[in-house]
Amino acid sequence: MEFKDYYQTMDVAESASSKDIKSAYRKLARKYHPDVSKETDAEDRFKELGEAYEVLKDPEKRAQYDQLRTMGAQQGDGSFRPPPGWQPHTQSHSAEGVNSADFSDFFESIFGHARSTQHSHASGTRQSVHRRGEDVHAKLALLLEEAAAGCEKQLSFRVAEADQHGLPRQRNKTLKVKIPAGISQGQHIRLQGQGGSGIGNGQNGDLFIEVELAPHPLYSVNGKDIYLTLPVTPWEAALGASVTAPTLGGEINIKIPKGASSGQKLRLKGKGLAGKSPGDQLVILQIVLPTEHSLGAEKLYSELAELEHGFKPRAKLAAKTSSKVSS
Amino acid sequence: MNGKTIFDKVEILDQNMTFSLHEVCERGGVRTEFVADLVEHGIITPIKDNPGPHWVFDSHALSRLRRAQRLQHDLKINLPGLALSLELLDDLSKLRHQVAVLNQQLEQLLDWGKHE
Repeated sequence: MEFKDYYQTMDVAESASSKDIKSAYRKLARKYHPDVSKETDAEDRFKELGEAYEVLKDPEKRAQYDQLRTMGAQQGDGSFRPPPGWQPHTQSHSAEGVNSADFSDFFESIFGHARSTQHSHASGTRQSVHRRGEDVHAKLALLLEEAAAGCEKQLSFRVAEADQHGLPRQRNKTLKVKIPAGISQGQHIRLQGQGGSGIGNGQNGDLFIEVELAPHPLYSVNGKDIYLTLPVTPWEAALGASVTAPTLGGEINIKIPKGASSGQKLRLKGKGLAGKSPGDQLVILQIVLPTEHSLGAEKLYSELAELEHGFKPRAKLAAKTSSKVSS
Repeated sequence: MNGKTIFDKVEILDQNMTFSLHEVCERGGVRTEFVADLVEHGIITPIKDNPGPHWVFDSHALSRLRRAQRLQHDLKINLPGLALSLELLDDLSKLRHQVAVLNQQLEQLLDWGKHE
């Protein structure tokens, strides 16, 4: 097994005082707490941190660990084997921060299996106690298309279970789940009985999944409505046109009204996310111009400028500026 | 249950799927006093305005309770601190989401400016 350098995990010197270790723990716990941190490996980092702190904060455990560290119980290839005759003590671990059932094999080979205080009463009297299994709460990121049409997703999560001795154990569980169509951002789904296993006749816990929608290259989402910015040419906007636009259900033809302007919204009823009351797709028009015009086109624009010289789009700005200057 | 099995008994939870105070306590492994404290500090909110023992919660309260428990246990945060942290974390995640969406839209606009 791998030798764990707890000093490195906590980013403290071997000579660090217990006060230094405590403040290093607090600082890193805030940084890597899975509910706070957005780093993807936060959960593992936090677990490692809890384990390192469990050892380094306790003078007795720290002394044992230091002894092993200096005795060179590390093999040549960096792996670790406890020295012959090493007897792990089964002891109570206070487990501040993390669930002691989560500690590594390395930890257990030195300090024995966790008999943490928070679970010991349940395991000691497990014949008579019936307790509901733990609920598991997880998040799942979906693409908009997946949420709209439904999909199958593989989920991996950790659940608490009792081993053959009734001691709590964390187990990785993988499950393929059929996500129903029309789910939206922040919505919860429940898989009954897929959480931690119950104790005695206690029911299993449930798995709750919160859906998060990943940003989409074309659409943005607001509740059940989706928004699409659609580029149109000036002449399509001026004259009206029939153009194709993407929707979640495939491309459709939409009618650009005559005299449309940038920022104008067209509502495609029922083309948003499905559900009891399906959402709409809102198409926001965006007038775009070619970067270069041909001479012929420039000539037509000049004619247009003469014909439309009465159109003063900046009249309001001019009025505001002059009133500001005069006051 | 292995990875090959497709689990399709999936329920979408909405406002109609509720949990009583007793269920919330049992699922969270907490006493009613703790839930009452969280309600008092506005950390979780019952969905119906029933008096104390008849409180009814939605599934968001369950996951919030779980987060509150973890933060309190792991970082030793008191109730007002917990209320503030959860509020700020919620705001942060909303803002992150918004920034991602806006960045996406901005890139789209810049992109069209380039190619058209």
